[in-house]
Amino acid sequence: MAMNYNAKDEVDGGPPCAPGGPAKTRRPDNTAFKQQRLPAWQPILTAGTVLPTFFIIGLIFIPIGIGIFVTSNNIREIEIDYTGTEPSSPCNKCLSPNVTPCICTINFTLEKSFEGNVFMYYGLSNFYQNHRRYVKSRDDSQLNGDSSALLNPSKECEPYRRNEDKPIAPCGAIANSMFNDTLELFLIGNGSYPTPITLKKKGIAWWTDKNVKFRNPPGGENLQERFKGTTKPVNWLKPVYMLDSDPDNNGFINEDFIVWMRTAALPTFRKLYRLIERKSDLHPTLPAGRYYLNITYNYPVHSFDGRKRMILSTISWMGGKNPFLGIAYIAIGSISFLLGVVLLVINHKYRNSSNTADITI
Amino acid sequence: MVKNLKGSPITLSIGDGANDVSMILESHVGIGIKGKEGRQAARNSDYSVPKFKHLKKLLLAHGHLYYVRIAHLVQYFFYKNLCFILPQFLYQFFCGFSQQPLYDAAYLTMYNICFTSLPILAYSLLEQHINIDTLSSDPRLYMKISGNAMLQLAPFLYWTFLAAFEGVVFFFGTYFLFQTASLEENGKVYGNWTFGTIVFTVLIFTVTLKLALDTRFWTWINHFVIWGSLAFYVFFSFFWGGIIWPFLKQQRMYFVFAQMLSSVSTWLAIILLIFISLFPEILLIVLKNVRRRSARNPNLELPMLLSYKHIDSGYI
Repeated sequence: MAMNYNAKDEVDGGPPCAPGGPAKTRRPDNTAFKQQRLPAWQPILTAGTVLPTFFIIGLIFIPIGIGIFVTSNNIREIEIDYTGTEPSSPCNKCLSPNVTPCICTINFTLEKSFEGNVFMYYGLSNFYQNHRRYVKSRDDSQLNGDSSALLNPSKECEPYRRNEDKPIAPCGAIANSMFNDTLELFLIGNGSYPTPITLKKKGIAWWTDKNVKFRNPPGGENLQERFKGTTKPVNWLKPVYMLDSDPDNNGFINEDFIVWMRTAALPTFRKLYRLIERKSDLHPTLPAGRYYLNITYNYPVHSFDGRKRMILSTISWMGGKNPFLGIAYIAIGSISFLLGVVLLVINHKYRNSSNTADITI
Repeated sequence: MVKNLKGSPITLSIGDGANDVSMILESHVGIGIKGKEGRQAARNSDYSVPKFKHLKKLLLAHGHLYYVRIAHLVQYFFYKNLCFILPQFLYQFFCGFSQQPLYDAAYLTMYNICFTSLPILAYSLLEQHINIDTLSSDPRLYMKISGNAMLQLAPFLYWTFLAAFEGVVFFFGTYFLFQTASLEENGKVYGNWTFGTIVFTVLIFTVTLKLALDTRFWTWINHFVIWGSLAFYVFFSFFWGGIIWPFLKQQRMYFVFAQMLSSVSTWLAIILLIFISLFPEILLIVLKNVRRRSARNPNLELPMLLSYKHIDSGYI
């Protein structure tokens, strides 16, 4: 609806101004911005300019897709589920063990040899590391080595904050539920004694996590001294300063611990466990043949229908085996190219038929 | 009387004398001319112009542009928020419905104000899909926005469908990308914050590039805010994850963005997902252009704007 007009804001043609004062005007400035005359580029998106884009996209995406797909197919991967819920599984006895720790062995065969660096992962299913209460249950300043946070952890860690009247280090549900199975790999040679495969336990966590984000609390030489006044998490067997004999992999900077603390995105996930380094270019890292996996079965998952697996995989420039990216690129590239062809044909037909059309205004 | 007609049309009245005041007040929009008959009409109007000849530009140029800008603004706001929230909603099915956010708190806070507000602001102030001279010279063009054409059900459904499609592409694209042991050359594994950051990066680039596709009048300001918003997002992400923030109990985004960008697979996935998301829009541009070719005035190069009525379907 029309609004009230303030008599004070009158423009040209108003009452004669007071002598000596200039006439006030509300006319906007005659600048390019205010008169909407700014120089501008106006794209003309005709079929002639857009159609080549489809062809170019097709020609770029399809080779990329093929490259990714071929790389992914060359990646070797094997998955061994060792939950042990089936009665025939060797690890079935560990579901309700009469002796702790329970050790079970699973035999498997590698059809083809694994070349280059091989990566060993453990995988869990139906484990919701991305649950909201779980994700926030940690204290990053305690893990960064802050002395006051060490003895007074954050409230977010409740109920894993204090135990027996002492603060827990490291506090929180994430740390408390740390994966503690031990996996060992052995190659069964021809008749001879099985050879253990060397598993490297350092170099599995992000560099910035290991060197910046996670720091042991300051103090003397002895790591146990630095954690004085704290207690271990409820579900752990050993306290945090006894995770490894190597002082560079002990305490908060233990790499298995750091890898576990990076909460996974989805309920079925894998985490890097060990590295198997390549020996030389002549011998494959893991030759084809029979192997067995020695498992110290500590981690209980059957109460929530979880599953545990061990995965051996080679890695390429694009990461692990993932056919999705390759197939998606090939598909989109082909659709784009096809659409380009179809639209070119349609465009040609219309262009030829509309030449004779007479448009009147 | 006209207001009570079937369909309750929006009315506009123009007048220049004291006898026109009641008409101007009664209509939805009143224009007053400061003329020989005094200033009564001008005082009671929504818009006032000094001369009758100014009416032409007011209606045909300013009115048309204002409508297109505002209608596009409204549709764009719903669209960008739907594509923002839909991946978070889909994530709930995979995190036990525990309300775990997909994106970091800083991203949630800054999305609407800092990353996606300036481009659409520049569009809604400066856009001239058809420039002012052309609009003033051809009155028929005004009929293209009659009947609230850009805010009807059909265009709204299109924007909503596009946003829903894009939200699904962002989330499930990243979900399938994560169905592998590792995305990096060194075999190391990503977590949930990296997952969310990949989705968010694709989101920011897609909604901003969608606006770039819609913009038909590129002034230096448009260039500055569109490319500037994208650059700001990248710089902010590096900055936010660049240090261990003192006084904060959690450092969940530390180095996440930089680590995410060190993976070739992630780059390839981001580019692919942006392209898939913008594909329907690009397709529509070509299809509309093909349809238009058959009934086009060769003198008038009209841009494609969603749900514009064809120039012959309005009455002359």
